[in-house]
Amino acid sequence: MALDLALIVGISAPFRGPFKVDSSPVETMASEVQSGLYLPWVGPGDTLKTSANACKDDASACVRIGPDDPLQLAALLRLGSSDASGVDAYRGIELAIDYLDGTFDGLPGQLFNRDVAVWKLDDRCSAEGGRSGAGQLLNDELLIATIGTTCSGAAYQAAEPLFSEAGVLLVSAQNTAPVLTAKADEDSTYFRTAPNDLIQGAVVADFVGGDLGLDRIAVVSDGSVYSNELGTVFERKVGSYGVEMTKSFSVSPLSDFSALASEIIGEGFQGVYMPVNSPVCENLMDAIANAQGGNQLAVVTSDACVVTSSVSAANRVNAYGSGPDVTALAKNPFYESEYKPAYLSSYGKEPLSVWNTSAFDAANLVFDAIRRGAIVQSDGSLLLPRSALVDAMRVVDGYEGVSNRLACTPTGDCAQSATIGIFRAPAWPVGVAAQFARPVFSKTKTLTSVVRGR
Amino acid sequence: MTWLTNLPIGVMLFLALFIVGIISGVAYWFLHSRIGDNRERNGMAAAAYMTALGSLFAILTGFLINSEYATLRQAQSLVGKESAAASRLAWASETLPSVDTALVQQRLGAYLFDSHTSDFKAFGSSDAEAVQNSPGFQSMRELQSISFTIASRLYVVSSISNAMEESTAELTNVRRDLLSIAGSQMPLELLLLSAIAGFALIINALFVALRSGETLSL
Repeated sequence: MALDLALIVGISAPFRGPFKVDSSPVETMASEVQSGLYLPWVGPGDTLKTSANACKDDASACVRIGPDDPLQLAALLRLGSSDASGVDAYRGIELAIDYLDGTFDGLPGQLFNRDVAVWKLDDRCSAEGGRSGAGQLLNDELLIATIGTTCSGAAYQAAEPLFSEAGVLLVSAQNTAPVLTAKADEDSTYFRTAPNDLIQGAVVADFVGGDLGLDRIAVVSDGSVYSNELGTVFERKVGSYGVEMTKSFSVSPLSDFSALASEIIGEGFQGVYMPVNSPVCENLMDAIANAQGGNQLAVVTSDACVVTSSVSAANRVNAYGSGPDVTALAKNPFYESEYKPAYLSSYGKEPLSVWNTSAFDAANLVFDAIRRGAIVQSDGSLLLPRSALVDAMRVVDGYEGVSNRLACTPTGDCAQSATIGIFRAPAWPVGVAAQFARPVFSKTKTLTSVVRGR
Repeated sequence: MTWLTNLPIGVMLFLALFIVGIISGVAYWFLHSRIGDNRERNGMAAAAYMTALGSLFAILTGFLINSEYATLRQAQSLVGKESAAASRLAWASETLPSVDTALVQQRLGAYLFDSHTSDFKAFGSSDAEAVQNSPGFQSMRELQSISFTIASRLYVVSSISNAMEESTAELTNVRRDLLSIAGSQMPLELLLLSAIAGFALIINALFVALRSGETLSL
């Protein structure tokens, strides 16, 4: 009788006492979901195994965020003027923060019930700007990650090695220079969602050498890492089309643009490829427009110049601009039905450039890394092992972003393919005519294929 | 009853044996001192009731054990269902744009974590406020909100949308059913009746035992 009564009392409360419900299936499921097992871009074998012990051994290897503290990120972008190319990327970051609550309602969302704060710094599109910005940001021990830089030159041998040395994640939405991801470095914390210029250079060469069929082309560089690298890729590839002559010219913001324009036209070039930054870009286009015979010259430029501030100058010459094909975004239903209306309603006009979407993706990859790498403490604080954030980025494979399908390689390239479009002014994909923009040439290439020279 | 059901099985068993032992001992002492010369007659009468009382006790306890065990199994089955619904929601969210997948799965992970760490503890307490204030309640609200918001969008294909809505609804139903089980009480009257039948059986058995002299058996 005693045994019977003890058994009845024992099993009568399913959530307490000796015979209670086993909640381990829920516990297992919780840990599987939180580790990213069900995320299609992570999957089995690539889930993180974070442990607070790593932080006990080396406190500097972790960011400890108090229960009421915000998650601190930074944006190291070209923010000098209201229409600078970094401004559009910053808007992408703002939209990503807005969407943390699942809706673009104009109000910032939260992550782990915390606000996301963003330091803003100008990379000044130079190595010095990148170094100084990185130095300032890395003084903050609570900094989790940085989105940036805008200019490749601000990252290469500038911000990138400083962030890598400090173990702080640096994700660029705009760096395109091939040299930044030419080698895999185990200690690197650098990633980018922008497509490698090996792809853009090859597509522009296909257009110039193939569709335009030009034989004599001048290549202009403004001396920046971006400009030198893209120009070199273009020259190497365009040679395969039997182009008889290419010649490189160097310019700086203080150059005599009229003289350079006259020299290019005078030497009988049929076209000029100028992968240069603003304002060199618009200054040179203005000079070409003012030069005699300038209207006969095909002026081809690339993404750093495809910004609203260059549109009026581009309209004065026979200009083509290359960059990620934004019209391909129209095929993305999320972009069309949610993202673009949110951009228009938040900023009141068409995107300034093509970079807001890759910045949106870069910010979301950082949020994803935080979600998977964070260790929630019993007191409500968060521990973020810095190496876990980097590891979380390294395993990304098949993230369906707004700008692209992202898969990060050990070198840091996350955009494994890109559709590059060539737009003819005035229908450039930025500024007032953006809604009418249609590429005159568009091609999708993978990074693997251009590296193999196909 | 909460204090009693919270006891470890060893203590619970010792307590039950102790109480039953005390009652049996006291009853034996009382009957032994009062039964006198009627030992044989009472013993024969008691033997005739043994089967009836034994059956009554067995039926009542059997019914109670079966009923309580069924509740326990139902709760365990609901935990399995919760896990399965969570798994279905996680798989369904895979085909969404990745930014949406991450949002749904983050809230799903948070809900499951809260469910495991807080809800089950709160369900086990007798304090209704603890259940209402459990973080699982807020997590469920956030999961529902994000899941239904995203599922209602035009870019989500209907099969995925349906799967998301159904699995989220299933999670809600399971939580409500678990809450209902947590709030349900064992029928005390039946337990009391069963205990009375048990004690009647003991006393009856004592009469039978006393008939055969001082020798006792359990």
